[in-house]
Amino acid sequence: MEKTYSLYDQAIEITTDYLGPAAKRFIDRQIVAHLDKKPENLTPADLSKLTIWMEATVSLLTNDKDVVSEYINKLEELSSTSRQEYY
Amino acid sequence: MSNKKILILFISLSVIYLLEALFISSDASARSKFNLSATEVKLLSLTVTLPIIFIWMLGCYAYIKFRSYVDTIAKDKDGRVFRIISYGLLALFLWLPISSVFSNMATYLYRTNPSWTAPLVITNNYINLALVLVGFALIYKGAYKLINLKESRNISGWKYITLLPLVFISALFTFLTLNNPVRQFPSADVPTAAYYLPDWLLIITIIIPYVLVFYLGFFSILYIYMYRKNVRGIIYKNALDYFAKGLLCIVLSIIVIRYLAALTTLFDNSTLKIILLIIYLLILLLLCGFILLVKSVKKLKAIEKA
Repeated sequence: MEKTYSLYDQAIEITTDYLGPAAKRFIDRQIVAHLDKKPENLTPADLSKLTIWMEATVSLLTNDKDVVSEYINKLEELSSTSRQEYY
Repeated sequence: MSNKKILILFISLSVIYLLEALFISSDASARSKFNLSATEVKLLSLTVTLPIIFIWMLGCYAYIKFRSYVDTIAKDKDGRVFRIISYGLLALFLWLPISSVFSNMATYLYRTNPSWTAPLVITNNYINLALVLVGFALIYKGAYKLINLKESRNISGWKYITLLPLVFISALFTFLTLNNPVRQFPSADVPTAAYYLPDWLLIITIIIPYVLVFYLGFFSILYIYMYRKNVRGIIYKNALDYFAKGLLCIVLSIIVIRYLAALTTLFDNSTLKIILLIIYLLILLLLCGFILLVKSVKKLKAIEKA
């Protein structure tokens, strides 16, 4: 349980580098809208699925493709390292 | 005030302003001075009136969008701070239409009743000042709270850099205003004085409050820039950048407007081309400011909608 909470926290931490104070609100909206679950219950498998949605959404907010791919790479990296720890 | 009421208010003011431009007869002495017919004056005034109305509508749109953005983040710390800034923006966006409509109405009234000139000019000046002062005081309050949301507040160096142009602008404004030969009484060439106030009252109730407006405006921009510098979020920073730049254009246009008011006699000796050029440049500056604000607000709103 502690690990999933930490993953949610880390996802917010990464997103803050791109969306600032809007990061937590953004992550919460994405989890609720696409996964229909409580944000705190985010699992590595969920994050992997969510990354696809997040890439599409963040691409609408900036034309800088490097920024988008950097953000998505960080999330994918988080997802894979957490998956190893989780299972 | 609901969005619908705000929209109705802006549309009503725009219609009144347009009607004033179309139906209030132009000054006969000015027409003969520039050798223009009444129709030519009307057409020329439309080239100013229509872009100005467009700017007002941009302001209305920016405010409605900004308020909707603030509503979505109302529960968070930044939401409460941005709400204060939104009230300031509303006062600032209302300042343009209210002062323009009142100014045209006042001009019409004192042209038909010359004895009303002094009280109408004084009232017009104070309405202008009150809205701008309230607007920037609220934006300053919000911007100050915004910078206090972040831990790093080492801005003392930047404060001195901001103070330098501010002192120069304020000193020049004071000098020009107090050296305006028609500040208290009209002359043979200039039929309407700029303030109709004795110097001591002009200093206390016009010059000092406008210097305060300049201070609030410049420091609001500095605080927003500093918040932008300290806050994390590449995309979020980008939206704040437009916001600060838009506000800077609006502050600069207010400074230009105050300088122009102090240079009444210079205008009386200028050609129509120069006067129109200055007016169009001022409109362009305001337009840039409002477009940048709209761009910023759209970006901030998009982040919260994503």
